[in-house]
Amino acid sequence: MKRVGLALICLMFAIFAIGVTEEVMWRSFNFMEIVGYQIKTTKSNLSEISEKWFYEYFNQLRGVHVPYDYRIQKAELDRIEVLDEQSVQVNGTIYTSSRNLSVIDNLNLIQSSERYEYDFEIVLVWQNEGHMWEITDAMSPVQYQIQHSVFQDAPKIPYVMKDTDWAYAIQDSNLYVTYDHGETFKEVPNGYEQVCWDAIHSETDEYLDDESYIITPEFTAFIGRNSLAVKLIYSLDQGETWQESNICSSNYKGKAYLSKTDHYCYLTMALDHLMGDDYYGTYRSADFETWESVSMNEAFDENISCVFWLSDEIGYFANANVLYRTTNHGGDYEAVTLPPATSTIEDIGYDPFDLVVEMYQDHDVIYAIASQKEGDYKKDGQLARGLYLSYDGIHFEFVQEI
Amino acid sequence: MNKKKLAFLILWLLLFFLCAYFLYNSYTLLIEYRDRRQGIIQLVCGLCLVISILSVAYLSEKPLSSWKEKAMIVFSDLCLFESILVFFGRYQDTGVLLLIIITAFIVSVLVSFLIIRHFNKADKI
Repeated sequence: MKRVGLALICLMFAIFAIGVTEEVMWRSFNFMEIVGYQIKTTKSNLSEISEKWFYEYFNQLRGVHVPYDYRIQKAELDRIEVLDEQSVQVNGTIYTSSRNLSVIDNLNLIQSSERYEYDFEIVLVWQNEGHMWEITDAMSPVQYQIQHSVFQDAPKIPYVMKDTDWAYAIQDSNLYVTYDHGETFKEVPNGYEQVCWDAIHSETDEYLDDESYIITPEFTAFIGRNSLAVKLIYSLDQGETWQESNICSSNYKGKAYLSKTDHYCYLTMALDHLMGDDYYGTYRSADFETWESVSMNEAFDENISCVFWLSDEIGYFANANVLYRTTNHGGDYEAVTLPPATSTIEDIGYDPFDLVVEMYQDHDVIYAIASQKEGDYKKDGQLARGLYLSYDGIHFEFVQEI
Repeated sequence: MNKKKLAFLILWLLLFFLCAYFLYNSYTLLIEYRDRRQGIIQLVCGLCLVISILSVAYLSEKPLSSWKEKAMIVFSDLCLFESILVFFGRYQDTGVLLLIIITAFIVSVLVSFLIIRHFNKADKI
């Protein structure tokens, strides 16, 4: 047993000696950074120089003198691609000696599916003085692509907000219009700040209410706002030139309805908010310079749900399911009540359509679409709406659910 | 000191330092770098060598007569071969590593058989 004891003592001594030696070697290991690495060569081909660098650089990381947070088993060069006069992309596979987070971080490795096997991708920027080549910058291929023109010159395509030929689009806080289903775009100068006021100040989305803008080849208009006034931003030449017209001073940002008739542009908008109700005012202009106020009836000047101008003189204001019709641009109003939705009442026992939300004219027939205030009657998972029509603009009849 | 003894001494020292290297690296890998697989492999290599060294040290004090001593030769060889082969196969998949361990076992039994036969012949003479 004497020799066994002696062997154990020798073993302890050997462990101590190895521990001290390895720690000294590992602590004195000097890792060469990629940036600043120099290669002396008579070659001038970036590809060959980078290959020489690859093997030199990774060979210094092999052996017992290298700590495990840098140590590799071997390095294989996969691909070298010259990107420009100074830059080269180097792709390789690195087999590390151990699996730890430090080695991945220190050598900028990319995890692969294999154990101890990592991808290495880097773009080197070389500079030479005579036969001495030095790496002045190193970056990932993605960083290189971002820095260089590949992406910078790519055309930015604004996101069209509606799938129609004539629509508005928003890109990088700029407002555009398109008249060809997104093929080409025209920018509305200072449009985003003034038109998308809600999106900027209330962090809501950038969708505009359908009633608050008009986009047609003949006339395009948005309602613009700043902290003091409401204005019309419009174009009469398909977005080539834009004008602004001040309408009124109001700092309340409520709902707005924009309409265009043969000679007039009508704007109805919420001017004030009191006790939970919006109070509306209507203006019209023929030349977009002077705006005249259109009188409204007290019966419907709050919480308007739809405005529709059929002609210069005839207009409708909807308040709940009652339409207020004028034939002399606000001189007088007569109330037009939508009839009961008989077939729906037969089905469910009551008339759910109590809020007119849309009106339009098609082949001399006026249509009205009524939705629901409470919104509890659904069909096929969608909120049901009622369609009504009128041939004389006064008497409406229920057509069907839509 | 003759050449044979010197060679044996160098070999013996190498074995010690190799064993120490495995044990210290296993400690570093397990504690500092948290690479459990490599740490355990190196620990196994180190412990195999410790057993092998101690077995040889024990056998060198005893005559090779009983089955116990013969078994210890087998065990010592087994540990030595396991240690070396596992170290060289440390980056292989677990399946390959198992194959290496089985191979080391077969090789060590064969080598031990040859050693024991050699000593038996020497005893008879």
